[in-house]
Amino acid sequence: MDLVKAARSGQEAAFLQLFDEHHRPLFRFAFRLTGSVADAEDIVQECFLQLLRPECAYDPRRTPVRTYLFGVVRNQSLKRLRRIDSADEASRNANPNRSPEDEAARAEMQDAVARAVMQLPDTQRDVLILAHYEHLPLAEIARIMALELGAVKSRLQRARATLQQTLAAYVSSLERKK
Amino acid sequence: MNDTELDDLLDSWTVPPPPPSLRESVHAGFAAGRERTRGRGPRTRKRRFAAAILCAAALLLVIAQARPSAPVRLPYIVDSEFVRYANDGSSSIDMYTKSYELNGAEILKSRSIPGAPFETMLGRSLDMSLPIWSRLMARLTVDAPTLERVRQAAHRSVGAITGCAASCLVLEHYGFARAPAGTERDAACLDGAIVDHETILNYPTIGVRPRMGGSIRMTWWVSPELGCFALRISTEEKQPDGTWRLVHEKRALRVNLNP
Repeated sequence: MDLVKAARSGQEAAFLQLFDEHHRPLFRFAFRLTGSVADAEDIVQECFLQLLRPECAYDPRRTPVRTYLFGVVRNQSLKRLRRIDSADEASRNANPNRSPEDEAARAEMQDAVARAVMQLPDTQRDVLILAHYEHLPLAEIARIMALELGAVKSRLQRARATLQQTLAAYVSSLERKK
Repeated sequence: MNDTELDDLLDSWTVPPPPPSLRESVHAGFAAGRERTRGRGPRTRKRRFAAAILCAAALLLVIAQARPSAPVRLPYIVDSEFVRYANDGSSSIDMYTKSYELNGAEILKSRSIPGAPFETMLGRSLDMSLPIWSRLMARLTVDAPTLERVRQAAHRSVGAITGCAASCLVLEHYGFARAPAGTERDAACLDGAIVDHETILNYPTIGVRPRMGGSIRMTWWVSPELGCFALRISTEEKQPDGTWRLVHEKRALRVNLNP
């Protein structure tokens, strides 16, 4: 019996195994989209519990569970992002764990990268995070986002081109400060 | 900045590990869900069972009076899925169907709603009872000449199941006029603009966009080899900026010949 089926039939060990296998990349993805540990925690929790609900439309014969879970995290994160007003957004995207003084430069760089990624259009940002940080195959990203493979490739290229411009400007401004 | 430098910069964005409380809260949610299911199980199951028995009894009564008895030999059955697309681009599957075409109408053989066995059963009961009920009501409320005109009009149209509504309990149908016989569009089955030619599951299809008007646009990929069965139907909604967004799609998954 596969893990999802066993978990849905009430087997706790199967559910926890499913959680242990998938929660880390899902948490990273949710955190990168929302910029908040608390939100990422809520989203990942909801994502696993949703899988057990009778109304859940997930069909293991058609979609691998990882693809489905990433899709749920993405949808939940987008819903939350829409609720956040733009004034609050900048502060949420900053690193919540501020570094001590000797790591200030690194923290600043990290924040700059996070901000640059978050400023990308939604689909470009999600494709970039799934491809670069989660190393998912492009075909799987296409399924998660309900896009054609060609559209995923072009969005990834555009995202990287935009980031190269944005971050190059940031790096040169740092060098000028020095 | 080259690709390697960009990758290095991107890698500087690290993520804190998931808090240990995450596993605990998910575990607690799992246990609470299981308790809830146990707590309401027998009573809910009894109610559902009683409702199902009532539905089945009512259906048997109606079917015995009104279902045509002549068996139909099926040349093929098409398995289809119905996909709904949300505003954010995510998709979900509303239902799966098995159906075939007869005299220009798509006849449903069975269907299922993923992850919802009770709704599936209720939906199937409604699929059987609603057409029979509407036929009975039509006989009682509409005069014979009008009924005959409706029948004739049905023979000059092509109909299909295009989706479902009310938590997928009720099927949605659309029907469009047939293309005039002997014209260039005759092979396309439907009267409308031909917008595409595509081979779906090894069957050549013609993409036809019937005239609808308003803010909804449908495209039917019909297969002349399968008696005008639509192997794909897309439904698009007009956006405020004038573009069209795909909101729903019916897609054939398999054609079973001589089932």
